[in-house]
Amino acid sequence: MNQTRATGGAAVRPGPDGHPHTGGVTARAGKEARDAEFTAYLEARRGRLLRTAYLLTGDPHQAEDVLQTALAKLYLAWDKVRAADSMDAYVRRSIVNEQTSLFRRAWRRREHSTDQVPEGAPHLDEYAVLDAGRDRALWEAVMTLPPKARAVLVLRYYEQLSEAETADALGISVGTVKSQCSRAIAALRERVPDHLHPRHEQSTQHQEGEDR
Amino acid sequence: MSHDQHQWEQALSGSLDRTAEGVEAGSGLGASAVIGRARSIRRRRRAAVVGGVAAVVAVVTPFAIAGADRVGADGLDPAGTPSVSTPASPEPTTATDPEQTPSPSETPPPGGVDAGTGDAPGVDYLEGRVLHRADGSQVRLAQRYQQAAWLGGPGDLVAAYGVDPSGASYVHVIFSNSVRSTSSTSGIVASEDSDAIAFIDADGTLMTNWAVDDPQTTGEAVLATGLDQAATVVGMTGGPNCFDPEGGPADADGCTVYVDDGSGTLTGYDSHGINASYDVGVGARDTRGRSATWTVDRGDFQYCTTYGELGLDPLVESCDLRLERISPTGDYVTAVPIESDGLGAASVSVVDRPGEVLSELTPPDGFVGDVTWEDDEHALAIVWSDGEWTMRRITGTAGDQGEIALGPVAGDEVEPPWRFAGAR
Repeated sequence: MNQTRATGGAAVRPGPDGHPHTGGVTARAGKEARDAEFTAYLEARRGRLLRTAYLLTGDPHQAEDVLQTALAKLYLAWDKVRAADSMDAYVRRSIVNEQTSLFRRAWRRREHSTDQVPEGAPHLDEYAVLDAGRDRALWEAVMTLPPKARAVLVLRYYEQLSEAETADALGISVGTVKSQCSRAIAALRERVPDHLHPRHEQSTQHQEGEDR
Repeated sequence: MSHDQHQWEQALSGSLDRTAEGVEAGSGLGASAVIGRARSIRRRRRAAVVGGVAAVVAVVTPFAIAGADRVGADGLDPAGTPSVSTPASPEPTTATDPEQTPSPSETPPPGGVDAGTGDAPGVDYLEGRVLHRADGSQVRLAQRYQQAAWLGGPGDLVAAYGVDPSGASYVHVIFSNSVRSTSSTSGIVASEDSDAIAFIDADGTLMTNWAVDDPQTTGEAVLATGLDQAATVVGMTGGPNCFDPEGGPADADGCTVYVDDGSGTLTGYDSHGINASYDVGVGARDTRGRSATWTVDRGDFQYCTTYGELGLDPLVESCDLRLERISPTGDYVTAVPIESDGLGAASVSVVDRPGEVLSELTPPDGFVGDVTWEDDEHALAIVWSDGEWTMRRITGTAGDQGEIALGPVAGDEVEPPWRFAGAR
């Protein structure tokens, strides 16, 4: 039987299991469950999101700062964002926005050094050597692009978002995403040394196949 | 897509994967560090709101009474009459949940030089589930929408565009006791008098709707079929009855809907079945009558924007500013920096037809979101600055930093508390 009675000024209502729960206990349990959910999400996704932030900022320390702020805002908006199942999208938008804010505030250099591999860049094993030259050249070329063009490339070709998803994440139109992608790849084509263009890899692999 | 383009995309995808794979998370991304940072942000927001509330308690009452007089005056389902109240607690209401955000008539106007100077917005806007109309009345909707337009008529029709959690988007026509849902990715555009809407359905049909004498249905006219799913509606003139006035019903008005096909062509589809297409570079932002603003790609990442009559030489062109919303008379356009991206622009300007920048609003430590014209001389901008959202009224007067029409409201910069309701 459901009953409500007053004890010491606080209303105590039987819970679904028949045991009394106070609002405070329920709220505390809810917060603990919420924190557990958030922590599980954080542990599962922070690596991937950090790598996205790194590709957007070009600096591992700045990437971590930007991502920490984005995740903190996600924590504050957790119930609403989780209900919409849009946690990654929320964090991506926050990262881009935070990066843009930093850019506007001139807290970072507008020019990126292109003669150093940033800290945190990959450790190359013997199987990666073939790709290393092009990876380095491509990365350096990507870092010369304007921030918006770089963000479009990272979201499209690293995060594998659709054009519509990329447009939504950046607050721009699908048409702008298309034109930015096209322009950015045209720029890479010009700025990456010709012998490192992807067509050479395919022709080399084709030749090796014929040799075998 | 060319083979070469595909090769570059594949190479880029693999290269970015390998470039990022060595980056490891540090201690700053542990749960305790992140939650600690969240608490710090929350404290900062609360501190900002406490200062704002304390400064303006004295002017809350008359402001709220004025709002209460308007609510429900037209017999619509009121969104809860705004209570005349002085905030009892300095605890902030964050804009991350508009359901908990006080209605504008409850929201204290800001302190400082702008306190109490702003009239309520003279345009329709959405706040959570509530559609606030320009006349001050409110309509509570069953859910949140991205856009909405009050079509009126005996059934007090509302049309709205929304996106569900799975990403599917739709247009709802909301009757007094039912909702008609149509899949659409185009959004809706409202006519210049906001008495008709147009959208493209999932089959590529360009549909127009308006209120009619029967409250259980709408007027409907199809202006085009077979449109691409990338197409969006940009502007609508004429109406509300979009049937052809020559040979159509006696009350036909005719209308024209402008559609951006997503690849640089803007086409005006009119009720006569005459379609006129224009090259608009990257895409069009706004239309008003036969005028439009659109973006052109000059190559090497330089984008410029133009304002002028479609098919004629542009009146204004800028490679520093992105020309956007056209004023009702066409005398002015709003503009933002061409490099703006992310969630908003660093500033908003009012530009006249010769192309002179008359005024510029630059919110400190913030950005400008949506902008719309309220009347011939005033535009409204949703602004994030110093941890708070405001809706500001701007003019072409030099030095104008915008009187505050709504806010301030503390919140998250990724989710403004208000949206301008339609496409105008």
